Amino acid sequence: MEKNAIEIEGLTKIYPAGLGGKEVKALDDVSFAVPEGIIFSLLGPNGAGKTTLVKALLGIVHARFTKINLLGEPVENIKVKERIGYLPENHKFPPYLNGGQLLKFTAELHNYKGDDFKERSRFLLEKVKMSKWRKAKIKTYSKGMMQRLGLAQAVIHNPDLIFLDEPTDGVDPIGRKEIRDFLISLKEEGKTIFINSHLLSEVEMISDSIAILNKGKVVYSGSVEALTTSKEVYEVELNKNPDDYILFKLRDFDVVETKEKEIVFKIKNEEEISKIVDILRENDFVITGLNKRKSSLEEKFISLVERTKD
Amino acid sequence: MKNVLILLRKDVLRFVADKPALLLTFILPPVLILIFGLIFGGSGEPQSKIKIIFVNESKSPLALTLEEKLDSSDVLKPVKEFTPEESKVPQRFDEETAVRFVKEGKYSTAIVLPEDFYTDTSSALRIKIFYDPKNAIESSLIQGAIQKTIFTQMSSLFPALMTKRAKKTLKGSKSVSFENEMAEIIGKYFNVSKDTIVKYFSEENIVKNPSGENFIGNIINIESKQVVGESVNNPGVTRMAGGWASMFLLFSIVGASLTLFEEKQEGSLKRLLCMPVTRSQILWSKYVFSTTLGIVQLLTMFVFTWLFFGVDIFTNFGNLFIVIVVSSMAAVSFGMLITSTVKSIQQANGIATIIILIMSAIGGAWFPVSFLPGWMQTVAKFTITYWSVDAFLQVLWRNVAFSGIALHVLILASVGVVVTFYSVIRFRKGNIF
Repeated sequence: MEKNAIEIEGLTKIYPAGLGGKEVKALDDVSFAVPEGIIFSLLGPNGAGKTTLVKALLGIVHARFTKINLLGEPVENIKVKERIGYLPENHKFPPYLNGGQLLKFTAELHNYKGDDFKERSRFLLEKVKMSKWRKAKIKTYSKGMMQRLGLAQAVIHNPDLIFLDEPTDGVDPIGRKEIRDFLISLKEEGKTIFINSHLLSEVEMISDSIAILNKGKVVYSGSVEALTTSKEVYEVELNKNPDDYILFKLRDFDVVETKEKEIVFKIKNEEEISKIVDILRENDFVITGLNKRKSSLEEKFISLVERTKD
Repeated sequence: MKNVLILLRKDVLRFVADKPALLLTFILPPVLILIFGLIFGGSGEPQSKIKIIFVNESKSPLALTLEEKLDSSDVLKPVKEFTPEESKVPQRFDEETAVRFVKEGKYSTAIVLPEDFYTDTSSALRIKIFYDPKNAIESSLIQGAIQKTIFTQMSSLFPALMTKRAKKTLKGSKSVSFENEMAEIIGKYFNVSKDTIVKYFSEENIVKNPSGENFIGNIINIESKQVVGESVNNPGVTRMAGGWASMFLLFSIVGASLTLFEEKQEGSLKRLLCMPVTRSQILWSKYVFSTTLGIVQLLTMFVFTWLFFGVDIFTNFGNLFIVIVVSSMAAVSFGMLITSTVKSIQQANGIATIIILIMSAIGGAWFPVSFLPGWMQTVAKFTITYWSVDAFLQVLWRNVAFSGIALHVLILASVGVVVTFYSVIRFRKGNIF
């Protein structure tokens, strides 16, 4: 049976009103689950409540009448945090430590009991291309180096659930690819990765599942594929340009648009596709391709957020 | 506990890497104690004398006597000559050059015994003092030293001058009869012949026996005996060491507590809270670190006073250490209260500085509390500094047993515990986390 790494039920967080102000409902009855062993991304515009949600998941802020389980344990159980890694956004690690010291400090506080700490530390720094700067003080690191080190510290204690806040922030394209590969390798090890990011293209590339938050509510939860792939719109690629005659023959179907050597249909059911193909063949058209129309995650994200604007 | 120790190690690394904090905690206080110690207590060597210009323009033997007495003063060093740039030949000061030198700031005071310092017709001594009031304390010291010299070393002056004044005021036979009657009464009660008394009152005796080696000279016999701290090596520094130590302790400890704000700003607190670390562990590690830092800082300062000024810190070391520990606890609670109350590090620095300076001023860190008005002395008892400074004084100056500091220890420890717990509650509700 599939286990969930994260389970949230009815999470509502209201920040009390300040002097003369209004109370702020940061999260409104948020519920979703993240299965173990996947890469999950949380998306949402600024002010959607993402930070509050992550803080609630990490036990930094508390909400009443809410059930949050991490790795099968209530978030209030501090022991469960030994199995959780976290890379905060815009983190400033203690500048007086060096890379190696930071990893040791993190591992110790997570009660990491493995006797392979040195080996693991060396391996991870190698993996994030930071072994050369292991003994250099953090204050000398660039933003990209900090991000790489942050990633290593998030996983030094071999956690099962890893929260990453903008993991590729400040990293160059090659570095981003390396981080993506690293995250995929972690997933292959069975780790669950929770990403909070604005870089939709990055999220689209590696996420198995996403949730979109807007105004404190979950407006979408599911796979990227399901969100970006339309079930209704098909693109039929042909060997020649469609003429008026064939369009007349296809008048009973909903033609969305015609392009060079392509007709786009909106169908009511899958039987319609077979009928369309048959008509095209009968009229000497060769079908060179048949695809469900895909939107980019960005397009879908914007459309969802716009739709739930008011 | 393990987490508290790990966090404590992090705080130590953080502190060691913070060079300005190290400087403020361990270098600046000893340097200031060195400076003030040299001013108020010296290093055990004879104290340096205050240089003054001395001009004697009088031909009176009495002026010469006063000059000799001032030459042997242990406070003043009369300077009588100067060397002009052009001639390079030493010249004696006169009134005009003395005044010029004071005006030019080369000396703070000039004492001039004018030609009419004491004449046949004088019924009082005439002394001119020219001074620059920029240093009021020094001027008071100089005037006090001159008065002391005259009162203690030339006490015969007073009956003789009184007789002269009587002669001048009463004139003729009345003055003779006054002198005789006075001599008779004194002689009768002191069992001395009238002639001897008349002789003592005579003008010649002022010059011959100015210090008053007679029954008149000892008419005011002040017997003073130091009964506390007579064996204290360096009284000046011993008295001030506790005060300065208490003030610097508060500054460093508040600084250490305020690192919570820095850690919040750099995201360290948020990151720590995502780890298997509780808020209480973070706060207790900060408390243990700050208290230990306070203890080490105070020990360093007292060892410094021992090394450089010979302050005896070892005779009553056990009690000194107890006071150091409770003072640190109380100071840390103050730092944590400030940190838990304010909203930003800037606000904390401003408020802490004001409170520390006020507490130091009225709590006896800068000067004895007895200098303050009565109501302020009562207010002083509500400051940590008062109890801390007084406890250090009891231990170092009076060398008391524990019973002598029990109340101080109880108050400081109670403040340390109660205020810290209150601050922890405030931290949980506040915005630091």
